Amino acid sequence: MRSRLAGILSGLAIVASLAAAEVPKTTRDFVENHCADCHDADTKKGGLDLDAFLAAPLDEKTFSKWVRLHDLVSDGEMPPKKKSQPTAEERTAFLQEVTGSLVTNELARRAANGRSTFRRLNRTEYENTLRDLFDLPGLAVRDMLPEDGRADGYDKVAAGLDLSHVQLEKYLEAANKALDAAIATQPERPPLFKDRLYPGDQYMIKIALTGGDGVCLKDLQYDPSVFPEPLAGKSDRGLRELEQSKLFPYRGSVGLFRHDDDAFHADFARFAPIQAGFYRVRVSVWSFLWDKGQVLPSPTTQVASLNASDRGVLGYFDAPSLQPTEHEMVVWLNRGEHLVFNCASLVPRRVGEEKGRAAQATTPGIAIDWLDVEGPLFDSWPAPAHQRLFGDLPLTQFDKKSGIKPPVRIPQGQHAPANLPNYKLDYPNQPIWTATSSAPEQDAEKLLRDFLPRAFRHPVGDEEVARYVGLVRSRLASKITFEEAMRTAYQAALCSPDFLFLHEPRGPLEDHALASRLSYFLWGSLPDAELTKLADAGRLHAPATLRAQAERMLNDPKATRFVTDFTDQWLDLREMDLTSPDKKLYPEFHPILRDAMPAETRAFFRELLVHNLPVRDVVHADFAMLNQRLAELYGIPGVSGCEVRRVALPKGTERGGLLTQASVLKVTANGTTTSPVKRGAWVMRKILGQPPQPPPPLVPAVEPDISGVTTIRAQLEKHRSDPVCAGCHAKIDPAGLALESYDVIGGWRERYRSVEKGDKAEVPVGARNISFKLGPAVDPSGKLPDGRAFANIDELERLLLANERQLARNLAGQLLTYATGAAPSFADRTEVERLLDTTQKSSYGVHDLVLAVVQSALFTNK
Amino acid sequence: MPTHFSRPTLSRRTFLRGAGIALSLPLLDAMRPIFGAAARAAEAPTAAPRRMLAIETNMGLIADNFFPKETGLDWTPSPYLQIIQQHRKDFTLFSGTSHPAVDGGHAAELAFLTAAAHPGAGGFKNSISLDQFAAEQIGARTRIPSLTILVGSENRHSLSFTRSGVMIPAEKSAAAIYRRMFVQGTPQEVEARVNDLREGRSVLDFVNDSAKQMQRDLGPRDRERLDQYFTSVRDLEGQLVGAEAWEHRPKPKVSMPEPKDITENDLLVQRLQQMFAVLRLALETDSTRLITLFINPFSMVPKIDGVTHETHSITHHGNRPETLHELALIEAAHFQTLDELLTGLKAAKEDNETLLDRTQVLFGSCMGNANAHDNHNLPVLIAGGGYKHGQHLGFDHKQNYPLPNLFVSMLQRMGLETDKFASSTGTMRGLEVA
Repeated sequence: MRSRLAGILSGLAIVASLAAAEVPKTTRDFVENHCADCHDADTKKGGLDLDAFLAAPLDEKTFSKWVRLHDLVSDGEMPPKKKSQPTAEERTAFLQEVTGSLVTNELARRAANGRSTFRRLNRTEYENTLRDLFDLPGLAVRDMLPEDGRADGYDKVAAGLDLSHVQLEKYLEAANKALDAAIATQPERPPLFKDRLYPGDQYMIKIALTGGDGVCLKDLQYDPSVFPEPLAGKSDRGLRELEQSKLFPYRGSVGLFRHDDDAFHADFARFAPIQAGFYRVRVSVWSFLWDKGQVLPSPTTQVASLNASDRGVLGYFDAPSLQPTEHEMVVWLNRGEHLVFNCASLVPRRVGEEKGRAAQATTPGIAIDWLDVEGPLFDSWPAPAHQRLFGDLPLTQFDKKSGIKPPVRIPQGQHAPANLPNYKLDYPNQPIWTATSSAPEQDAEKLLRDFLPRAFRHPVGDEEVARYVGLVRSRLASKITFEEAMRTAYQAALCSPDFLFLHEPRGPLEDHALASRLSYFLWGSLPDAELTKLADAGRLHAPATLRAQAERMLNDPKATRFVTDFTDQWLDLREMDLTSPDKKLYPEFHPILRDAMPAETRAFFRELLVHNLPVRDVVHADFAMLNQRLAELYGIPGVSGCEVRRVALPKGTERGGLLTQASVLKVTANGTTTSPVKRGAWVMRKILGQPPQPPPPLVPAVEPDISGVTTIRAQLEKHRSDPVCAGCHAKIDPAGLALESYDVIGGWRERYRSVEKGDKAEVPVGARNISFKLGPAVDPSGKLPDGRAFANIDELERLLLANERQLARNLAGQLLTYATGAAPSFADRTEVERLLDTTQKSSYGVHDLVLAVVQSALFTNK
Repeated sequence: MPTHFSRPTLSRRTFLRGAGIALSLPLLDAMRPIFGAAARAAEAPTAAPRRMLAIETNMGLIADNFFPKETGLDWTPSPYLQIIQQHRKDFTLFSGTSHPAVDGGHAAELAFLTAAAHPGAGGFKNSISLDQFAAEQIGARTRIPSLTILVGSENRHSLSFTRSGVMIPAEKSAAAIYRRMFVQGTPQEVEARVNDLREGRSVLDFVNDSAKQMQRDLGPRDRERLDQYFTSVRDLEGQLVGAEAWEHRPKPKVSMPEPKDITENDLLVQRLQQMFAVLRLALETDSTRLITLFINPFSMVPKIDGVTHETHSITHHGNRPETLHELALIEAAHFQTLDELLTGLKAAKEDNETLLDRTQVLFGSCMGNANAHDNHNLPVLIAGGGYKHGQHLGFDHKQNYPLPNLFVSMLQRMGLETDKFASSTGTMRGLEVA
């Protein structure tokens, strides 16, 4: 219960700041009368010596301790219930005085620096910005940069975003990569490539066939006429022999038994685009059950995916049993990037390494009939990326005898030119085309005048443009092309602090800074033309305009970046792969399930956002966003296919809300055991916004037991019986104990899984066999610090829902930290409460909260 | 990730790449003398230059063919050790060692020189490799601070990682390495390279001015953040200055002509021989003192008599005799080229020692049992470097001895003051300096 601060500051005779080391009278008296008994220099209960503390000045270091003191008294936690209590008036007077001092102190410090600190773009923002600036949706530069740190939970806060020469070197490289991708090297639109690719033509798939991890199929049956090896029982011929015997190229279907792993990727390497762009891809797939030579119906619809070799999954699609199904998608491919097929829902297994191989195996499989590719698809040429750099300057042929150094051109070609006769660009023999100017300095100025404000997200003065033109001029003097000279200027721009940092001068944010803050919040990238126009006209900060723009941006596809990035960081989903569930204890955990988990959570948050659902749904909702694999994990019938969709939850499913989602339950556990402390602390930090105190030093870690002898609950007995532990753990553990009903992959359990002692267990859905037993029973009951008890997660959720405002306060705080790069501090509390008030009508709808954040003074000021 | 067909190289020649600067070097001392006796005299009057060549083949080695049954000095050569047996007194081999907590089957190739734990886990972040650790301190003494090489795959994967865990792309062309070391280039080419470096510096100057302008608008706390930008620019500039200094110094003259790169993927033996010849020259001329070589025959069908299957598939031999036999042919070929390399290093003299005495040659694999993708009991040997050799040091097969201890010994042998590398617990027990 935080005291409402609205109105407290008005009309108070504010005391001198505590920084003057003059503790005001009311504060001093209160401490003397109600705290000193336990917390003086001699007794120092809990390690707190208030005599020394009050003598110390109030500065950044002691500030947070003062806030904690304030909150403990405000919540009624201090003095402890069994000690004599101050009167209501005494408490109020003390709190008012302390609040006044703290706010004055903080605002004074803030006057020089603002709330948030100057920061660079994080690597996700950096990549998005280059992608949007050049209209190159697939440009891959993020993984070139070292990982960013996080502060207050987010990589949007300056403290986590250091800069060293390692980054700077990489920025230079990344800028070059972007310029290479953007600059057109041909005057004509590249010829359209349109072809059908067959799995039997691809090297890695041939390896799978010869290695026993796949079979040739025809008319939904095994095709022995082509490749008898899997069943003939002969020792297999090697790939060289097979290729010489002309068994390949094979143009039929191929059924694969193998999921992607560190030694196998079904890479369609015969196609590697020369020109980056959009490609229409169509694939025909179906699934089956292979049984020692027979092709039978598949036990379930399988799921396949297409990946871009440099960037990961492009899309998932269903492969129904014995039913060739076509799927089409338009995807961006970078130059040289391959399409890689993956049997995403197959359980990792290497039939080729088993005795008897395919001849003796019974295994599900996914068949690929063909893969059609068409592209690159361009509406116009040169593409927008090139025009961003060179406008409509013509591309002319470079005169190799001119004595000027030619622009660098990378030879491009594919290893399999036979089916791509037009696609070889072999530069010593090819003409070089380059953007040319008859008035280089004037054109340079024109182009830079357009480029620099876009890249820097604010207007650029004449002097600054002239400085860049000067750079171009000096480069032209060393006998190079206009293109190369401009490249230097563009590279300098992309490595300048104007590009790399977010520019927010102190005080109320000027319109361009506001546009930038808004677009990096909701799109993770630079503002678009509409936002920039409003900023140029000085009209963005008008409240109605600001709100309307935020609405527009939330409806734009780019808002997906916000949903994904914010959810990942708020809920710690980036730790998804930090641990791997033990294969013996969790045989039903497969890559396809792992991929579905964050998809559920992101879709759930998006649903709350789009439909303005109340914040209480975060704790308990009557629906979930599921696909088949998730529904199987949760035991919810009637959901089939890989697409995530909204499902109304039947009564008694114990699902609905963030706390019981598999992704959350996984990141708060390790590979073998769950921890009520870890989960409980997560709930406090992420859902309630009340982070627990750090543990005392030298407390040894508990070694959890998976032999089935005891339970974690029993092992944490001291948390309840020892008052020193209970001080914090009475708050931390309860939610975690209720969540013991869910295992490390988020499945419901009534008994713990054990590797040694226990009873026979059933094979879980999705596993081939079982190697664990059922151990002791789970006891999910507990008690909140105020005495309210719960028997299970359902009852705990209801107790948490008693304070919806706290849930909203937390979410608002998370959004504010993400959006402004600074967590709400003590002095911000009044404004946060006001913000919450505006969303009370919709029960703190999530959409309303986001808009309220945008319109808050905390957002519109530095 | 194995890909059969080459993808067009995207990397544009940048002013830094052309100068061949390894990442994360501290400021170079441009006042140091170049190479040769004068340089060594200036280093420290009595210090002999010490070198390191770390080689890893990532498909494993059949244990029975590598490890002798006996330990100590009196061991009977295994089939592979028989191939290099004329050098018996110049190498030590180890059994029962591995990197603590380095698992993940093939993924362990990422950690062979870093020993970073759990390279196969999601969210894995690598750490600095042995050669880059040394390069931070001694890289500046040679024209090329360190060489990172790959023979094998179509990608540019390597064994070398920077302090921030970023993989350094491998060099694959023997001809390019040769040119970098020995081909002076016409005066115009040198001028062009120097111009590139100067262009780089002028870009850095330019953005430095941008930062100075920006600084005026910032409050004190914000200025502290911008300071990091200034420091980064200054550090990078220092590297460019050092690289330019080397550009002006004449390169050594050698009698071996420039090699022509072998383009056929399957000529594994020939490619290794060619690369070893160039690397030996690199060490002889003191062009570099730190080399890593990653051999990746994953998707090759090496052109060796009797080999018709591609390497990776036959490493999963399932103990079939005919498959084991074929795999052994590929592995034996490695040792044949290693034999030639060691002979060549022994034949080169420097002061009163051989080049082999002054070069630690590490050879091994990241998997002890490739068939089972097991990362324990790694096959590793170390040749040269001036140690007391000839032993088979056998450690515990069930509780492996930490291999990073060998790295600590190697670093100390190079004159670096360190007693720890990754998860080491000390120096390599039983390995002594001669």
